Amino acid sequence: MKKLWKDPSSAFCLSFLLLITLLALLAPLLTPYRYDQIAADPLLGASWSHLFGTDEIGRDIFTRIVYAGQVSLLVGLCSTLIALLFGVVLGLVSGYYGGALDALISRFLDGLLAFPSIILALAVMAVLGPNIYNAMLAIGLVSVPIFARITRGSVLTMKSREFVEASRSMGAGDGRIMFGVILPNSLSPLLVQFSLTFASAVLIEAGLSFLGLGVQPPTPSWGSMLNAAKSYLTISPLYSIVAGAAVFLTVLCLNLLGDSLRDHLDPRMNKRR
Amino acid sequence: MVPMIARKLLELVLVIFFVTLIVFFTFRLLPGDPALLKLGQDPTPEAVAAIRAEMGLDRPLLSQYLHWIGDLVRGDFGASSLDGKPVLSLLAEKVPKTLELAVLGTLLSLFIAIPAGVLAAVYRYSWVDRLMRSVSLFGFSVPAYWLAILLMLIFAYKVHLLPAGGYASLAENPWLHLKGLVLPVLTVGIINAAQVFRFLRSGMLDIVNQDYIRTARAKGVSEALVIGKHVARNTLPGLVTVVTLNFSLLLSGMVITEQIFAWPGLGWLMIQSILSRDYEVVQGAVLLSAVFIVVMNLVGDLINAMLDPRIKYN
Repeated sequence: MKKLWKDPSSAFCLSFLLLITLLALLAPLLTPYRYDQIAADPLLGASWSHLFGTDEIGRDIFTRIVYAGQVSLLVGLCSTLIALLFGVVLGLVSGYYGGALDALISRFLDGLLAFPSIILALAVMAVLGPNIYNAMLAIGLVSVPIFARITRGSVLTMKSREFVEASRSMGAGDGRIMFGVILPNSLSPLLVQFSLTFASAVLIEAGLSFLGLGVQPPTPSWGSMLNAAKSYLTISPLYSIVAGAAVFLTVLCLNLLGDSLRDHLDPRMNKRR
Repeated sequence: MVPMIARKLLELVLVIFFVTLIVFFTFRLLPGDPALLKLGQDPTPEAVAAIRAEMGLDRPLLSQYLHWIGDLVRGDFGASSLDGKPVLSLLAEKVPKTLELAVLGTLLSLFIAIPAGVLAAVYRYSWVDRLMRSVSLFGFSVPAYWLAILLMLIFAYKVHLLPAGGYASLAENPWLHLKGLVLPVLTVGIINAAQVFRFLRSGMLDIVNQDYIRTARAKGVSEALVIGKHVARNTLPGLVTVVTLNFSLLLSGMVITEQIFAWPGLGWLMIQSILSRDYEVVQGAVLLSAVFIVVMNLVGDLINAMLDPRIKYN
């Protein structure tokens, strides 16, 4: 962690992510308006009382951006956790037991992976109905295969290593070996992937909301704000720009963070530098 | 080669089997009874029972699934609940429009990513490499909808050079068709280029560090020949994989791009159908795109097997 702060680009990313999290958490203290409060005339430009102007019905855009941050980060985090949980369990089981079970799970994951992510998420949302919990579920489901593959890969390389054999000879059961021995030793690639999947989860959530099938109004979301802003592109370009920039910067920082985590955690990369 | 193709085909069938299972059960989860949806408010219990029998909903799940698969194999994807048109013909009408964007977007992305990837690998860890990587991170992280809107803002509203969206048929109005293509293809191409570039660069760097490249250099082969022949030739299979794998990402981005630019392709149809609760069409579109991706991956594997004899025997 200390190393990350020394690298200027990852330090910038960490600071930005920290800032946006704080903004989202402290939203009620930071702005005098409520996110659904009509505070002024519609589509005003930037001013001191409305930092990013007002939206199509006169709500403060800055307020909505920080409140939408709560939604985007929460959906991103929860869906990534869902994917991590199911992916790790499936990967451990399929890598550890091998054989027919492995083949079955792997083909199922291949099947899941065959769906373009937004299309699968859209289908699930269409069936379950658009709300914030279903969004977490749909986006989480899409990212299960990648975590499962990574976990399965590390199980396969570790299964026959001495320290696993050693704990088996000391009488550890299958569950103990999987979760107590192998999993703690496969954390670094999972951590890298967590950051990257978090990024894509934020991206997909905003995409779903942009299409009107994610978080429903009046709850603000970066995606749905951008969709509204699109209609006023000529009158208020700032509206589109800030709503998109919020998604873009968050995703960019999460991706960069994933990259530098990989550089620091992967011994192969260190040698090359 | 033949046993390898046979094995791949078997895998393909298995994966498609799981794809159909996932689609079937996802759409079975629909809240509410499809029969009730069809009948509207306050139907008589007899009418409900009749339509359930007609739709096959009173049979066990397995029988429903087999029935559905049988219909699919015979090319019966069901009918739109809006106008009763067969889903397959609705899809067939949209697919070429999506493919046009996908193919042109892929070509554009290769046009950008190949030279950039080669430059970054040749001048690895220099400022050129760093610059290219920063630019690619932009493309990697920018949301398709935002890029599309920014492009629209610049080229349609500020410079008035291109239409902000819409589709004109190639036969009736070729010039307008081409002009309408530019922004969607740019959106799709730029995002895809970032992906291809990242894979290409890391793929080439892996190869540059291999022993046989060092041997080639030691023999006095010029750097241009090392990169142009030895490295490029060995990067090719990876490139094919990336391009075919990326079709999945491409289709994802396309759903949004088509929606923004009102380009009436598969993604556009899917959104319209979701909004009008026309689930048979949604189901068909989801299934079709997944099967398409699976087939694309197989095609990629086969091309690679032809390019790299080592793959055949693994």
